[in-house]
Amino acid sequence: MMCQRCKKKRASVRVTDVATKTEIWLCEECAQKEGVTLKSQVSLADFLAGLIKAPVTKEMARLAKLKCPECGITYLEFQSKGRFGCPNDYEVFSKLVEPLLDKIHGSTRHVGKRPAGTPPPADKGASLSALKSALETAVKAERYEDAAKIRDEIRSLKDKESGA
Amino acid sequence: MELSAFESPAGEWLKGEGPESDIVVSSRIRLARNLAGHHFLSRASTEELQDIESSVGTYLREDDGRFAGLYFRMSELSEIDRYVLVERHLISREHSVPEPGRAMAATGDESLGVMINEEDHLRIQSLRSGLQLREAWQAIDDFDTGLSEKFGYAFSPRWGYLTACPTNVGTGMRVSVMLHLPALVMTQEIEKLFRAISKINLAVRGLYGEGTQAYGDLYQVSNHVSLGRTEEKIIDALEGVVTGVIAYEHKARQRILSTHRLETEDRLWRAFGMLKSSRVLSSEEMMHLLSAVRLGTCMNILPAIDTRTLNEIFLLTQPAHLQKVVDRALSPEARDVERAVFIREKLAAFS
Repeated sequence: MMCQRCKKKRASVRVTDVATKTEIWLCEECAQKEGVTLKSQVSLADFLAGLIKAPVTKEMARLAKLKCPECGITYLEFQSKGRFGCPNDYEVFSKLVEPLLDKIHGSTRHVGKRPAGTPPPADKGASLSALKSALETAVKAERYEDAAKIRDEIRSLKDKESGA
Repeated sequence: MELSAFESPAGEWLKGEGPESDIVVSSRIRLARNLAGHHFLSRASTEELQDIESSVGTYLREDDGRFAGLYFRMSELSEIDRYVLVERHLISREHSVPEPGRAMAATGDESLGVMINEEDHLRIQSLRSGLQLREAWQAIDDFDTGLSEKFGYAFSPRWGYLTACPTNVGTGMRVSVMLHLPALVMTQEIEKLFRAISKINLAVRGLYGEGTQAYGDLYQVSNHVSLGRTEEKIIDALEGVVTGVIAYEHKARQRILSTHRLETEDRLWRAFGMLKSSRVLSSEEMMHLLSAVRLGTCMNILPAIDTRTLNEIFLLTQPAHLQKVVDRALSPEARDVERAVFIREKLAAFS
């Protein structure tokens, strides 16, 4: 269909006059002249995803450029080779390493053997009992999601103790 | 390097002893460790790697002492010798590339081994015949503690032992059990089993580790999660699964006997006959036939050939070992002939 106003270009916008309930088909140019704002083709979901992603990607881009002062490796280099350059890299790239470890191992904390001479982990007895009472409260209040999280924390604390 | 340097021609892992040795060939634990204050391998200079090799080497040969007999720098070994070490599972294929600073050490009985400057500064391993994960852990735990007292390890209270690849961080531990599962292969249940195993976060690999084929119905089951669990928990979990697999294989063995006795007997005797009388035998065919013969002796269908003899056939007819046995370089075609000769002689007494 051709634009009903200029009759030169292809019509792509249907404009409805709410008052008279009449419709006309216009080309983009004539539609703008009529004062119709054209929405871009971005869906709401894409738009929201963009909002969430934008700052993260920026942060990621900044982190990816980080360079380890010890060995000079960047996170991008690590990503392409899959191997770190020195022990310090874990600390330097910790924000990126933690999600990676969680993905690989389903955990981000060591609970096993420690080399000779390494101080034992701090006493967890106090926080364990605190967690247990928090768990009771959460269950009573039927906050089951919270309860599940607390239960996992208790479990990992107990694991740590048995492994220390 | 002389094969006689090893205490036994077949090494600890092929002794054929220990609990469940009719199905479990060996139990292995390896720990990945790096020395504090040094770059990992990809960023370390040749000098740095050679320094590590030299100081760890001195400790192993002199202070520890158990490694005095078997200590080799990769750059000083012939290609065949390096492959002998791969075939004995003392080094990985990757480690056999003679890069500077690479070395290996093993105790005479091969129950403890060290790769220096493989992917990490140290890869230490403990091996036992049959299902003996706890014994293997005890041995490597003590050895590792001794090493950590002498050399500071790269360790973080948060992430554990720091390794070049994040898949090994934490305990740095890989536990693997080598299983002989011919009946599950025959009943075609093996695929189903492996799908189930991979769902519970364990890996199944072929004979020589990652990406290798499962020749001779031999499979390695191992953990791949190394962080967030204690060493004991990792061992317990793997042992539990392996115990289940052993029971499954036993059941499959009973089932093929009760439902297909004649076919099974025929198949195993034929394999024995071919192994005993072939004139040309590829390594792959040998492993296939030997698997059937091993099953036949375990099920009391074939003559009682001791496991050590079967294991010697298995190891000493691998390409590099065979060339050491005949003491000359052999083309692949010549190897197939020599392999058949060697096996005929070994099995002549059994009929």
